Amino acid sequence: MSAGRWQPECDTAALLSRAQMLKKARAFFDTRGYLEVQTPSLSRWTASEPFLDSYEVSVDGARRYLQTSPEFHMKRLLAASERSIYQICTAFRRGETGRLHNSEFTMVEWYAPGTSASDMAELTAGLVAELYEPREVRHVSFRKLILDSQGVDISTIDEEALIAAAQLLAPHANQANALDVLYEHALSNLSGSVVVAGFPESLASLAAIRDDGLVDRFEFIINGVEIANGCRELLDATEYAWRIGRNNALRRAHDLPQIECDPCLEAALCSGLAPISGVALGLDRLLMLKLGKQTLSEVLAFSDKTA
Amino acid sequence: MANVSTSEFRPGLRVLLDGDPCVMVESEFVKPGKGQAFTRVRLKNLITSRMWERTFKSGESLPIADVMEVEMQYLYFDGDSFHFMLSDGSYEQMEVDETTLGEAKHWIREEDHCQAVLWDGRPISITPPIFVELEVTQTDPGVRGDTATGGSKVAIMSTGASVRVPLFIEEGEVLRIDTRTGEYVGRAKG
Repeated sequence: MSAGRWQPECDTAALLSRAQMLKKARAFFDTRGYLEVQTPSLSRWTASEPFLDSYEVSVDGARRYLQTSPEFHMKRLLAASERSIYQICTAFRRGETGRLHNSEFTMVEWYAPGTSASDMAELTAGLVAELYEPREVRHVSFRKLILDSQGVDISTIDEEALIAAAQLLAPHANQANALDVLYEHALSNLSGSVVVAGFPESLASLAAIRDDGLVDRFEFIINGVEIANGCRELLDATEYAWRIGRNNALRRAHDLPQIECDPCLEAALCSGLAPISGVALGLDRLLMLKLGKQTLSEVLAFSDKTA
Repeated sequence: MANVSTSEFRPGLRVLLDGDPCVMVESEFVKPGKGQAFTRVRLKNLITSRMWERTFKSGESLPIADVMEVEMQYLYFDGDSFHFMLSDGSYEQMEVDETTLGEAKHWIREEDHCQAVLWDGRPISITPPIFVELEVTQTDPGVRGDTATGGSKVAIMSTGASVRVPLFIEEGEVLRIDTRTGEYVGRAKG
């Protein structure tokens, strides 16, 4: 790490390509009748997922969180006015620095009332075709992906055997992360564009549940790298509060800080919303793939190392 | 002892793992989907030279190994261990046992300068100079006029090492050897 380096990390071609990608993304949503919105980066509330760590900052002595995604504010907008919206903004995630991660990154997030998760997977494929290249998209369920990769059927296997299977891949595997470990391994062997759907309930985030008990959420993967994830949104305020409670129980078990339920989002959900689906897409990763780069820092003007 | 946590992991870092000093060759931050982040690390065990792959949860840490590379001059063998002296002008001497010396024992002669890795001040590996010049102490008689066939024979060097040499090499000649491969390079010049 060179403390004295002032020059940008990416080359001029990457800067130009990024600018073009931003324009194309806006055109893609504008022509489809989406309204571009801007919401705050700092908020009194934040995401509660156990393994999503928010930066806590002090604003004139009051606690604020840098947003890990614009989800909460955008859902408040949706509750007030049912129209399709999108946003291109910076999202912040503490402790995420690596080849495919940077603690702040550019996210494209959009929501559309009256759509299903599969509508959104299709729209994501359309956006990827526009920004990157048209590609054949394969659909696979989370269960099938892990079955094909490790020969483990998560719908029938007992917990002990599941952990043992994960420990073959990573010795640190335990009850809390066995599925993550198996999933990560399966992804690392995937090529092409793949939509993974049908996640187990433990990986629900704020997605709605399908009739078969699985989560109505998908991840859009290109060459093993997660580019986007989307879902049909959970609209039940009671269920929302319950999931925050479950996340906080997991946080306690892992010695992580507790996150309060966002009362504004809860009230917005209570006000009643038509079914909506939404997606978040990582623009930097897509740019990295487009330019054939191996690390995110090669497409960022300044990464965590030089910012 | 100082510790280093996953966020500071980087190639080249020397750490203690399972009690052995290791050098990190690769370190990658991995975060699957909505799951818990971890760091996947490839390390080379500095004692056995074996590669290890391990995963660490974010926030886990490893102790830093007190490992340094120094130059040492080989002095003599006392019948039990090999004696070296640091080349830094301190005249400090160190004993190295046969196991630690490993392959290097086939190549070094008294007064040769070697690269050594010290862990907690003790030598754990010795690398001989890349090229050494050694005298042939025993080999079959040379075959005149047979240089074109590319045949080879075994020669025993003054250090006891066996090297494959061309047929025309004779006892008493000084040869240049590549210690990385143990192969004959040519006759020593001068």
